[in-house]
Amino acid sequence: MSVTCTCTSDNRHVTMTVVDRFDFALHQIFRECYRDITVPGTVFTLDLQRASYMDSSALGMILLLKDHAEALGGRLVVRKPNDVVRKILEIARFERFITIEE
Amino acid sequence: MRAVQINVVMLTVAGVLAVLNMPGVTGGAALWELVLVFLLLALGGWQLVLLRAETFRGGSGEEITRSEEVNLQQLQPALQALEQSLLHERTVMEQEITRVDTLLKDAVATMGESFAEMQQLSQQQHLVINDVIARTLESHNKSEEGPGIKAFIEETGAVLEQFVDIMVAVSRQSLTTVHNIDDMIEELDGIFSLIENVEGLAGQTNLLALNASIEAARAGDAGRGFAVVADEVRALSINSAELNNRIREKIDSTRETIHQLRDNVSESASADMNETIETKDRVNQMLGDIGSINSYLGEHIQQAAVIGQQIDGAVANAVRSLQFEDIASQALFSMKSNLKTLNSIATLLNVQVCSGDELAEQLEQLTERCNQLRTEAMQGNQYRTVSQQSMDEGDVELF
Repeated sequence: MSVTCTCTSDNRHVTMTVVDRFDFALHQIFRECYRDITVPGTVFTLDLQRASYMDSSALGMILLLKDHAEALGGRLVVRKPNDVVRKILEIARFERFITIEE
Repeated sequence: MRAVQINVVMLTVAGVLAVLNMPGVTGGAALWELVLVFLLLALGGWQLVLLRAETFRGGSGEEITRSEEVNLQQLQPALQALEQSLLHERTVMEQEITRVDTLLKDAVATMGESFAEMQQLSQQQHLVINDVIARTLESHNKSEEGPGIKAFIEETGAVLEQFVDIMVAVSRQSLTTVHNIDDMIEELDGIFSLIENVEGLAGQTNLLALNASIEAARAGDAGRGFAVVADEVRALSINSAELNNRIREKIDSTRETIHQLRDNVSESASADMNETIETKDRVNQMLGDIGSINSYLGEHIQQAAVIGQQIDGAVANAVRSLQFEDIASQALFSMKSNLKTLNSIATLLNVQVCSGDELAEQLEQLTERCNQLRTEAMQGNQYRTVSQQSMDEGDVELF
């Protein structure tokens, strides 16, 4: 269970990858990944391809990341959630305010 | 003599048929056989008369023997017996016709009532089915009249969505709080390092005061006053070190409390969503089930409605078919008029045969009267054939 963060050279594209369980234990590292990025218009991509589980705090974290991205005038894209994670996103009806990519 | 033989055979057949049919005349077929018997009897009777007449005419007046006169006189009671038999048969037939007519009328009346009741019940069934159809459609469109199961499940789904929304909002709020607490802990760590600095200062002050008291002792009497000041400074540094310790203790306990607070908030931030997902799945499943049950019900109720209409049609047909009673009554009525003719024929047999001349005249009259009766009967029959033959020809609704 970990979060990794990679940035493009211009710092305007940030990809965060969550592996295994996406739950409260990650909240500090997760926040540290983005709190220092202040480049306006940054597009954050949250790669959930390898995330196997998600609890409600993960949803909270995604919303806070979205707030951060929008505060910078950028946006958040969630990419490739597996079936379990996708179901949780559907139940929370996240497609209303977040782009979910395949 | 051959004609006599035929005549005897005819009468015998008629008699046998009459005997066979007499004990219990029940069916229409038996009735018609009876008519046949009468006709045979009548025909036989007449042929007998004609035969006699022929024999009579065949010879000259002088040739009439005594035995033939006796035969003529014997003919009288035979004809009377024939007449009586015919009259008796006619009476029985009339009784039977009346009985059949009554039975027919009663049965048709009862059947009519049954069909009317059936129609009424079918209409009631229609109303019930229409009501059910209306209700089914209403539950599709969320009626005001009582919440349907579908509406209830939809509401449950909506409540579940609200619940998830609240859960996510709480999670987000808790995470924000946790982040704030983390920031606060960082600040506290800063205060700790500051306190450590102050502690260092106090230690240095202590050392400085110690040095000062040593220098004061070396100066002897001149440094005595300074030694007192140095001691006070040292006491102050020790006091400040103690104060620092107490502050550190307080901050430590504060940090512990904050950690506890952080744990508590984290708990509310993270909730397992699996149960919620299962519930949501069940709600969706139930909605699907209700939908299919509703459409199944709707389909079959519509079918029942169609069947009901078919029943109505069948009953209407049956009711129309009951008009056969009219036709049958007419047939029976005309049979009665035929019986009247038969009656007249029978009375014709009641003649006083005295001599050959009279007989000839009477035979002529008989022939004439017989022709007349037949013509009347034929006219009657013609009228009858013009009247309704089949029930399909009429389309009169009795209800």
